[in-house]
Amino acid sequence: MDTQIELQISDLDNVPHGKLIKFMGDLDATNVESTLDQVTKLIKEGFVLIVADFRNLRYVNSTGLGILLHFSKTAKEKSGCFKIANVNDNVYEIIEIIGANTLLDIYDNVEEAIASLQTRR
Amino acid sequence: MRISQQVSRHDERIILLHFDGDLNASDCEATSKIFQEIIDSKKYFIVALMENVTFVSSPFLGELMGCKLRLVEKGGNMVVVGLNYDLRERLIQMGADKIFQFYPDTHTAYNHYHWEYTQSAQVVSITLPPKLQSVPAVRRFIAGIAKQKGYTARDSFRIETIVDEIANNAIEHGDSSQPEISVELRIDRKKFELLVRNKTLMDKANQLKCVLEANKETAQTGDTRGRGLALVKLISNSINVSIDKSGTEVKITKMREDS
Repeated sequence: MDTQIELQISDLDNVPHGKLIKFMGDLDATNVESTLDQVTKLIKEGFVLIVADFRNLRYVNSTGLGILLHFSKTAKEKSGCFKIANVNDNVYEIIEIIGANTLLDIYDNVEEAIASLQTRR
Repeated sequence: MRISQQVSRHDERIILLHFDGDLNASDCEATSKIFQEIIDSKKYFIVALMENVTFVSSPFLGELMGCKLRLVEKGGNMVVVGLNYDLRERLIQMGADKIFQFYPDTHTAYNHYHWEYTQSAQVVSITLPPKLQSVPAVRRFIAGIAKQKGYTARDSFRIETIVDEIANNAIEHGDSSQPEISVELRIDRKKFELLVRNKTLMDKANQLKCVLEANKETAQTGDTRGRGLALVKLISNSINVSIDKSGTEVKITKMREDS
């Protein structure tokens, strides 16, 4: 059975082309494909300003980290961004150890991440 | 108060001290003397059996704390067994649970003793089908064991990551016809060892060695295998890979962070 991950997607007020994605559960090799499909679909639809809320993301492995880097790269290629907020200490440590903290835009909370989108407009 | 002692039949290094009745301030001196006799006989591990204790006064609790300190100074310990619910609650309110470990029975106390003082390791062997879907339950199970054994939340998370990456690697890069992956966990108070065995085609197994030896790291590594193994290398203390015709064996050792 695949590990449960749920993505709750909602609009971002006053941010055209923006979406907030709440990640809930574990992001691992069993569910990267479905996660990749959902987020890639959003980016293809033109929602390239994305804030990912990790408050309820308990776990991420190297495969999961790989698609986060992919989202960041793809959004940037379309003049957008993929920002992450509310990362728990354990997940942050994995991101940091692998050196992905220099490649991902990480914020303490969703409000700061959204504010950074508004200043770039 | 009535107090009697006997050498444990389970392990002669352990003394069982049976307490009965109310433990009052007036009992402190006699208790202290008994503890000193035990220490003088070079026995430093005491299981205090308190199923028949009805009351523990604050001065007596203080005396017990002092006795425990004398044991700890000698490299020993004292644990408490068999408290009734009300007394246990009262002792917790007095903060005694910060000083003493409470156990429901002597068997659990002996387990604690072996875990803490005899460096005995516990081994768990798991066989899983070579499917990625089987990994999450195994990684969470093993991380749960580490947590239960007193490893920190951070250590447990790292252990979960190690199991996940190595098992995924064995499945993704193993021989597609392999019937199973074998995972063996060996855990003691100071370290965690993971042994993952699987059947791998020789060229893929050699690739694994190359990835490990290349010291590749960081997120720029486009190849997931490189990134996962780099991560394991960075959060563990050692990785050994052995390859022969029967398959590939990856052994990871991780020291407990507060050991």
